[in-house]
Amino acid sequence: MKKYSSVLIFLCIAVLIPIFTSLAGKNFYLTQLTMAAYYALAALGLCLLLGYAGQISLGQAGFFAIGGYISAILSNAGLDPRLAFIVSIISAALIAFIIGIPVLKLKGHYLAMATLGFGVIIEKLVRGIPALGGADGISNVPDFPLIGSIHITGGRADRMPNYIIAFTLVALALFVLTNLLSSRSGRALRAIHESEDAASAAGVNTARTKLITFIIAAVSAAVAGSLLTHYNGSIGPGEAAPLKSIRYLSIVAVGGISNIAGTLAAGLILNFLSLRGVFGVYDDAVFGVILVAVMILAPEGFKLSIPSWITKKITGRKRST
Amino acid sequence: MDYKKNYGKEEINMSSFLSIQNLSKNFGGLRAVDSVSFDMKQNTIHSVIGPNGAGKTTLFNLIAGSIQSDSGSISFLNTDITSLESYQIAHCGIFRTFQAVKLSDRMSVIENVMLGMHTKTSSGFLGGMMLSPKARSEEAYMREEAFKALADVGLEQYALEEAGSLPFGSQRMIELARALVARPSLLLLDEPASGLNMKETEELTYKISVLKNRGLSILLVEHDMSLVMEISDTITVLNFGKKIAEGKPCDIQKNEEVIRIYLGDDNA
Amino acid sequence: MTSDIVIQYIISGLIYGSIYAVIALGFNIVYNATGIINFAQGEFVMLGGMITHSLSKSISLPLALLAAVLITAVIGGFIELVFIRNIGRLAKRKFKKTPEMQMTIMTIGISILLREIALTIWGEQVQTVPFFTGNETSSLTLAGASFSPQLLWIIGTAFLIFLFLSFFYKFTLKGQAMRACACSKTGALICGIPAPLMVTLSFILAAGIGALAGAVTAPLTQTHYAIGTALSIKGFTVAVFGGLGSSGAAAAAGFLLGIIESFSIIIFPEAFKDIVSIILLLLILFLRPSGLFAASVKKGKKESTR
Repeated sequence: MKKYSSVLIFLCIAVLIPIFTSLAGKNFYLTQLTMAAYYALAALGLCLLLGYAGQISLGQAGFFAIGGYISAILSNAGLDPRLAFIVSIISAALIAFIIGIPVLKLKGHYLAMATLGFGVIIEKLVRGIPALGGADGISNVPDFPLIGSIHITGGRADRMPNYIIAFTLVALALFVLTNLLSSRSGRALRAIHESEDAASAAGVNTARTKLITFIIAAVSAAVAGSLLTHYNGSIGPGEAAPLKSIRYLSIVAVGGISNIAGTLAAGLILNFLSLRGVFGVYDDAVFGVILVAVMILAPEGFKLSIPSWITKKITGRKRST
Repeated sequence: MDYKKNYGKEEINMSSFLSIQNLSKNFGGLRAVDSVSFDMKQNTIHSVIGPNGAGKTTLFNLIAGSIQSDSGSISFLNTDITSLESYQIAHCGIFRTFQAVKLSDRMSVIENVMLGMHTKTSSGFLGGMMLSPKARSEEAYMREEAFKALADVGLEQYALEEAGSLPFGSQRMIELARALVARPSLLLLDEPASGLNMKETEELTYKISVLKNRGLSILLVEHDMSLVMEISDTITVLNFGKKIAEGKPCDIQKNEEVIRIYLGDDNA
Repeated sequence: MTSDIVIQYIISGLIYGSIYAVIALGFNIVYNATGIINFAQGEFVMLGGMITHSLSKSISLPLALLAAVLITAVIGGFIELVFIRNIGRLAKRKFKKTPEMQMTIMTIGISILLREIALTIWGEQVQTVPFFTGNETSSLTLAGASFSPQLLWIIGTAFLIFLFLSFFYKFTLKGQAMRACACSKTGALICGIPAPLMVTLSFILAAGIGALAGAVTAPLTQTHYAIGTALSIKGFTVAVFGGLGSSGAAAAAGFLLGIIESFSIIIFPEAFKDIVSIILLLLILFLRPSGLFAASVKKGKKESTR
């Protein structure tokens, strides 16, 4: 059970946040936190890819945009948003599959460049094709019906339910990833990260494992893109910019590269600050500085781990590893 | 605890357990392995020796699938495994260790050994993420087998320790456990005695002979002559990529050419 | 399609092809010395143009050009000394393997920083650089098509860069030392070649030639703080196509890409020109990642193993 300590802590914090915001009278923070949660979801996928499979992808923004734009276009055309969602996820997975198969067999920087290129293509396409909204993007995207009358939407009345939805989703992702990492496939993945030769010798099909991880990362970005688009009611070409992909990279780096919980925390905090405008015009630059700083100071990422006294309180035992 | 079962498949045709035919590998202009052929019989310990640069490691890696040969063939249990990649070799029941021990340092010891059960299980990403019944039962199965394998090398008390924190000799044993946990048909050992002191080498020698008694077949590349001479059933000697001698230890020790190429060679 | 339009396309292709070829060379230089891809290579080109633009207002153009190249070269060396080298040192101390992934990520971060710094200094507008001879209206004619004399400067400069590098690698001690390091760091160290210095030198060189290419083409293509990204991708495409190691192949591939891109306007709208080269990159990676010449790109090629 101790492996779930990060999930439990996250849930505690998630419950406490709305209490604090309503006490402080800043309920509108919940809106930005909800958005930050979706961005953090995309970062989580990248964390799995970068921190465990050891692959650099600069395409998360591209997949995010694929999720968002396909959802937006199909929903606006009248398709049930849930179906549109499925279409956008499958599209992202397919494209990741196509790019991934040849490129993952090559050295790391090839994937980095290929995904950077992919991101540039997506951005140019969504910005240049009028049918995709051009520079203004697509707006008036309908709500996403979740269950019954609960929708993913950006209205003020729906702020709290949507906060819950987003944070539940993220908690779920955290849960699922924690399960993965302590499973057979997760072990294979971690082994690839530390010694690919040993993993191969033990029978792990490393190319296939990396491909699956790449697809997972792409899908997580697409899910985030799709749902956030419904929340915001719009999407613009800026979401596809390679600069955004680099943001995700910075978040994963500062969170600890192989640290799921750290990436989540970094993703929430940094995106929230960015969305609140704290970084001003230096928004992109900040993430660049963070990336460089982390690489110099702690190339393996900061070892943000939950202090043992906290895990002890929760599970009654100390972390052994 | 009935862990000490027999290894290996029931194979009637003894002569084609592992068969290397005219295997060659060039690196640029260098003939690292030059048309080497030999057969290995089941349930034997077959050593490959030779001076530095003789091609032993290349030959080893060719068999293990980490590099591909230029010509020749390798067959195992009547199946051609020449062009298989290393992960596919593992699925054939052939497992190897590394001279420079390759463990996942940040994973626990037991997890490292559990990795060795990869070919015996099949639950994937989805099952792992969703905690499917299959994933959970396979996990228990892998953990149980890994624990037995660890106990077999005497390291079960370190199961939850971080693998990178253990001394080198123990790491060697963990890697061995990882290679053994899936009950290999053929075990490839890459300079297993490298970096071990006298006592550790003795323990290793004993361990290898125990494995053979359980039915395992072992191919090893090694520099330590005392180890090789003591446990080998057959020795193949390479020099400059070519096979120059093959036979039982006592024959090899008397072989003039072998003596000549080793003259002046430093051996611990 | 009339012949002078064809020639216009070819000329345009040659202009851009030269830049791509030189950027590819920059990638090769750093890759051969370090085994990593320097994502900031395109930014060096951008800086060359930008710095020349600023300096040319106060000093003569040739001096501005020289200064831009030198300044950018120094920046390149600085980046290596301060950032790249430190990761290597830290990682070698803590972990056993060379941190190629971290170093690559570092260059990604640096490319962003350079880009944002450029944005801060020069703003969002497109900047211009004076023509080396004449101005934007002067032209020469060949076979019925007219082109700017700057084109000759561009091709000439690219040619000189190639000559210089070939000479450098073949005949000078430093150049041969760099080649030695590329083949085997340990071997080079044993021979007394200071490998870390060679790495710094490779960055200085790559930055310098990048800046030169940027400065010489800027009069025709203008320059902008954000051009680095696309340039890096295209230069990388050319480098991969040429096999990540061979100068001659990079040159040929560069011109080829430039011309293909140029003619692509016939089919695709100009806004999507970049997409053409990226698709080419993806195709190359899919089909023949070893490029025209088989410099192995698969994992495990470089001697520096885990």
